[in-house]
Parts: sequence; structure tokens; C-alpha cells
Amino acid sequence: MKYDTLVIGAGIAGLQAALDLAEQGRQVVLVEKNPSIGGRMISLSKVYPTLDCASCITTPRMASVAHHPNITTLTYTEVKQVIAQPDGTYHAHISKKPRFIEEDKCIGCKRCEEVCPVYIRDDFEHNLGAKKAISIPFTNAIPQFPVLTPDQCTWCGACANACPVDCIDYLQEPRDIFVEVGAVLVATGFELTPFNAKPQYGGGVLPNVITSLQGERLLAPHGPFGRVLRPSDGKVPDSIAFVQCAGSRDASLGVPYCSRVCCMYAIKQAMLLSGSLPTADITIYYMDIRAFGKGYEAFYQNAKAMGINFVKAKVGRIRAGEDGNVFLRIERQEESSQPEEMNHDLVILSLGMKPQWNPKTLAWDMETDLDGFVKSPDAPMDPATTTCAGVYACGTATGPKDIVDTIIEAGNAAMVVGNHLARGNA
Amino acid sequence: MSLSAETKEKLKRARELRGVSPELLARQKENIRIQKAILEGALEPISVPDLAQNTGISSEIVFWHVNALRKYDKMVDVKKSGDYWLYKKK
Ligand SMILES: Cc1cc2nc3c(=O)[nH]c(=O)nc-3n(C[C@H](O)[C@H](O)[C@H](O)COP(=O)(O)OP(=O)(O)OC[C@H]3O[C@@H](n4cnc5c(N)ncnc54)[C@H](O)[C@@H]3O)c2cc1C
Repeated sequence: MKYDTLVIGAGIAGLQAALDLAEQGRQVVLVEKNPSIGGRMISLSKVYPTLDCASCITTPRMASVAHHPNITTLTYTEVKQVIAQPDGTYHAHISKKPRFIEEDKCIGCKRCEEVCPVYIRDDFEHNLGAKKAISIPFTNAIPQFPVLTPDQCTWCGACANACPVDCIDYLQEPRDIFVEVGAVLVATGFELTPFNAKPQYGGGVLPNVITSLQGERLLAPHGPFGRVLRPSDGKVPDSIAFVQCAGSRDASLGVPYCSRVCCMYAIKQAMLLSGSLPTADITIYYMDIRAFGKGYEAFYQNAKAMGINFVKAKVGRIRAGEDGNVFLRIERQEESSQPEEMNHDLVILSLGMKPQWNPKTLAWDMETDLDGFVKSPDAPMDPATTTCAGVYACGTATGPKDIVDTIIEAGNAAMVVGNHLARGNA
Repeated sequence: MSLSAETKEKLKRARELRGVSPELLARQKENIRIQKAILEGALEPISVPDLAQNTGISSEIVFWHVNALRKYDKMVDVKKSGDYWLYKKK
């Protein structure tokens, strides 16, 4: 199959770029490794600085992509190889993972999920919630196809028994797809820095120490607990702490850079928490607040005015207290610097961003920066161009950034790719 | 609906090819035991710590299963009592 552009990654960057290219009349093949498009943004609660509902903004874009006649969306699919051709085009080998259902028959009725007896951890809820061994990834997933997790399946046959259209295929294999494209756009996004990178913070060990993405799910309207509760016992938390720079600005972790979004998302989550738990004490322990975008300083000042405590302090250690509570050993950076122990019901670690995919896994000339993000040698004037001719990048694949900057970069990348194709480079 | 002959054959082959690990079977058995205990213990509205105490299962595990059962319509949250919500079998 021939397309103008291969877009790798269907987060907000890939979705926006694919839509812009499609609107230019270009044929796009959009490849997403997860079972649904939407990336991180579809799992966020609300977005700063407007506090708009994240899924209300993302879902229409996801639907526009899914229905656009110029976009072919391949989900649950990975790029195995991209090979440059002498004429400037690329040949890509893509592999579609088995969902163990026949997609052309499935009607998304969820009967298989309802009857499946195996409850497993839900990765969309960052393990806070449950799903079944065969399940639709989340309520507004696109496409609405269930995925069977083979290593958790007991092969009891209940799903096939319940399926009204006989679409379960227990022997489905990965399927190879080969495409020829004029240009490639990498929009593979970010993942959080490891939860347990600082063992002294108890990430992954203390149940009431959670990641910032878990914090987003607690605040989401259809989150795992239906409201903000702490994971160890369902208590309504009365005292919540954020620990800033828990995974960034620390050379010993290999993440010396600032992740740019953590101050703002912590302030956002603190404001949302204070909305849903008006009597709770909310404290942000920070090194310094970086509120650099338009309206961001006002957002920060609003949070202060709402009564959120900002404490300039270093957090040395987090340990389990009584009844599931968590103690933070802090050293203030202002006033007294005597170590103190602070008691909280729930702690959210503001983890940083690292690249989700290493493009060097493909045999091409793509270079990455020292931090692992895709290298944009001509940034900031031309952030989309990479070290590989005909291959472009945008969004958090090239470095930490928020949604506004991601969307702007995606629009720019679509234009640069359009120019590349128009010049007849491919 | 009953399984078509083709699906039956595929299921048989999948069982032969992939098998089920003893760990998965043990986990599945344990999950069934926990959920049964939770549902039997929640005929009247009850909090997670009380359910945990009555069943002898850790409150973290009880809470995870209560939410699993809520999601799949087998339990409901009733009302807040003090610092905790009360849940009940549906
Ligand atoms: C806790 C938290 C809260 C945040 N809140 C806000 C906020 O309120 N406002 C704001 O402006 N920003 C916020 N951000 C930042 C925001 O999430 C990002 O700016 C945005 O999601 C980046 O989009 P993206 O498309 O670049 O990456 P992603 O959303 O990561 O999308 C990348 C996509 O590529 C796919 N992919 C990766 N590798 C491959 C591969 N090899 N093949 C195929 N597909 C692949 C992934 O599965 C994913 O779907 C927040 C970030 C965090 C961590």
C-alpha cells in the first residue's frame, strides 16, 4: 500500500499532525502501538491552564481522525522496520498484534468482557483499577474493540460462548503490513520517569505513594474509585502532598533536565483536589516553581489564593506511618532548615518525562540527543526536522512539553512534511 | 450462544499451545475466594477497613476487589460514613 506519510504514534501530536496532513489532501497511515488512539491526553482529568475536560477535547479529535477518508488508522500495531529507498521514499514493515477477535465482525457489545471470569490490573488506570482478561481498553476508546490478554487468559471459552457474532479467534497471529511512504513523522511521545528510581520515596512499595498519572486517574470523572480515595483502604484523604522534581533535575537518575510540565500539572491537580475535597490540606513541596507559559503565573497565584500550601523544601525520604499514612522527611529551603517529618494521607510524586520510544531500534540514521529524545538539529527555528532526510518529529518525542506546545509543533510538522512532499522529494 | 465447531477447535488448540500456568490458576482461585468473601460480607453497607477486618484480607486487596466488583456492577457505593465510603452487594 502507498501513502504520502507514515505517522508513528497517535497521541495528541500524531492525531493533530495526521489531521492537518489529511486536510492538505495527503494520504496518511497512522500507526499506534496501543489498542486505542489518544495517547496520554485521553487519560488526563482536566488540562491546565483552562481546566477544560481532557477527554472532551481529545475525543472529538480522535473521532475526526478515525472517520477521515484520508487517514488509515492502524491500532495495536508496531513499526518493525523503516528502510530508506534511493528515490527518497521509505518502505515500512508494520506488525499488527493479535486482539484475538475478528475486527470486521465485532460489534463492540462488551458481552465477552461481562462474562470473562478473570479480573486483572487495568493498565489504563495505571493498575489502580481492574479490567477483565478480555476487555475494551476504556469507555471512549477508539476503536471499540476488546483485546484478549493471552498470558492472563484461562482459555475457558466463556467469551466465545457469549459472543453474539462469533468473532473470538483464539488462534489469531500477528499480521505483517508493508507500506511505501513519501515521509515519516515520529510522534511517539513520552513516558514517566521510573516510579522506583528513588527508592527512598517508596514508589511502588507504599500503596499511598502514587504517580502523577495515577493522580490524574483519581481525579478523572470515570476514574478507578469513582472519586478521590486513597488506594490502601479507600479513605477519603484529608491531607495530600505533592513532591516536585521526583524524577527530574537529578543527574544521578540520568534525568538532569527539567520536565517542564510537572509544576503546572501538580498545581492543576492540587486545585482540582481542593475542589473535590474542600476541607483537605494540600501541600506542594518544591525546589522552585516554573510557571513559564501564558497565564501560568496567574494559575499559580490562583492556587495560592485557594489555600494550597507551597513549601520550598527538599524531601529526603518517605516512609510508612500508622494506618496507611505516609511520613515525609523534609528540609525547608526557607526559614529553618531543621529536618522535619510531615504526616500525609496520600503522596503524589511529580515524576518527569522521558522518551517513550528509542528510534534507534530501527536501522536508520535517526539521532537522539544525550537525553534520549529525538534530535532536532535545527531547533528552535525548525523543530520538526531530524537528522534523517524525509523523517520528521513533533510533540514530546523531541523533548518535554505541554499540550499547547505539542499541538503547535504538530501543526508545524504537518506543514514541513507537506512542503517536503510538495518539493517532490518523494 | 453455543460455540461453533471452528471456535471449539481453535479453543482446544489454544489450550494445547499456550496452556495455563499454575500461578495464573492459583491467582484465579484466590481472586474467586476473595470476591466471594467480600460479596458475602457486604450484604449490608460496610466500609473497606471493616470488610478487611471481617474477612481477614488486607484492606488494600479488599479495596481493589471492591472497585473491580463496582465496575462490573456487582457492588454499589451507598453513602459516606466518617472518612470512608460504605459499599454493598448489588
Ligand atoms: C501527569 C501529567 C499531567 C499532565 N497534564 C497536562 C495538562 O494539564 N496540560 C498540558 O498542557 N499538558 C499536560 N501534560 C503533558 C501532556 O500529557 C503532553 O504534553 C502530551 O500528552 C504529549 O502528547 P504526545 O502526543 O507528544 O505524546 P503521547 O501522549 O505520549 O502520545 C504518544 C503516542 O505514541 C504511541 N507510541 C509510542 N511509541 C510508539 C511506537 N513505537 N509505535 C507506535 N506508537 C507508538 C504511544 O502509545 C502514544 O499513544 C501532563 C503530563 C503528565 C505526565
